[in-house]
Amino acid sequence: MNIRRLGVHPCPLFFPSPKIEWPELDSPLLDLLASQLDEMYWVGYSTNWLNARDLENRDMRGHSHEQGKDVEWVPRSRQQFQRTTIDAELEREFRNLVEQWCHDNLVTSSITQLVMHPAYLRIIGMGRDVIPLLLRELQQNPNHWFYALNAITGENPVKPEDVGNIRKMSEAWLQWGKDKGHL
Amino acid sequence: MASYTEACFPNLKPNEYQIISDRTIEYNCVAWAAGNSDHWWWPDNQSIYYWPEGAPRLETVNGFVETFRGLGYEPCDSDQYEPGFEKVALYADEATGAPKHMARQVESGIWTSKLGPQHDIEHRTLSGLEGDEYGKVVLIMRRPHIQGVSQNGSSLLRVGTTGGSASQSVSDLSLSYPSRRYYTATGRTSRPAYGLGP
Repeated sequence: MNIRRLGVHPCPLFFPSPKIEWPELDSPLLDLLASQLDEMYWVGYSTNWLNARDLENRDMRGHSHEQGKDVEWVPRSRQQFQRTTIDAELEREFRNLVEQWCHDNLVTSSITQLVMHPAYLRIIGMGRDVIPLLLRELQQNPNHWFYALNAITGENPVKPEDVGNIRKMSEAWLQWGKDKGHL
Repeated sequence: MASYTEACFPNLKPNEYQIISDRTIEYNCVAWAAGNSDHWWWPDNQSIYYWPEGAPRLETVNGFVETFRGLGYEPCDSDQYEPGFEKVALYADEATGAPKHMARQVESGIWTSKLGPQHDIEHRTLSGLEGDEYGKVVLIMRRPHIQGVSQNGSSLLRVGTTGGSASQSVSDLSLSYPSRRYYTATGRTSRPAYGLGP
């Protein structure tokens, strides 16, 4: 993901004021959000989150070390805007991969074939951020997301007696999602 | 006719099959071949999916043979209907040998298949489903008809079915099996063990 493409300034530490140029903004919604920025202050954010999005110009960001964790600093208002934007991008990518996976496995019975499909592997590679999307997909269109959820979370809430029962497996994962705050 | 069938199975002629159920993801072709309609059967090595207890979790033709031996089937030479027997067919990828699909013979040579997460169909020929999706038929197995089962129907279709949609559960399976060799966690026994599953 190219953060510049999203219109986020690569160097948040040097924003002089809320009146920032957003040279690549082209969405009316983003324009509206930018116009709403009326305060600028900094909050910490886990570097893991930023790394996961393959941000550019990392050397231009502000860093600190707090409570044993590396922290990267971004303006709060931008962070919220950025987060919203990236989630939408994540969901678009997820939907595209799901569609591709379903299209290529219309009549597949082999679980190995299903979970080794490149689109499925890419979904797993999206990491923990995709968990809410997987659970929502499972809720709306039950399908074989159990391997992906297991691979990402390292957990398996399905009771041994329910193995293979798609409805009960889905229910177990949805309950897990509620318990963990993902739903 | 479902829109996907022509694309996925170019050898399946429109007048040689019919859809006999609604679309459902609750079971797959292996379950359907074994007479079950509420579990997805697959011998994945992480045991996320159902596979009969005691049967080998091997994604090979031999693994499937051993598993269906545990259900009372033995390999045979012909896919033709034989009175007194019910048959299943195993499709596998030609290049890798990996099992891809199973079908079950129901009546006078007619076969029935569950197409992944899609519909159940009845098809006149096994070759209709051969191709890129399911590979080739590599094995036919048969077992004697179970007592009390119509010679014209399968053991599954006698169990409270409507419009071809079966209602037999995994726990019902043992009721259908003859006294042959069956798997248990500790070895073979004379009573059906698969019915002890979920």
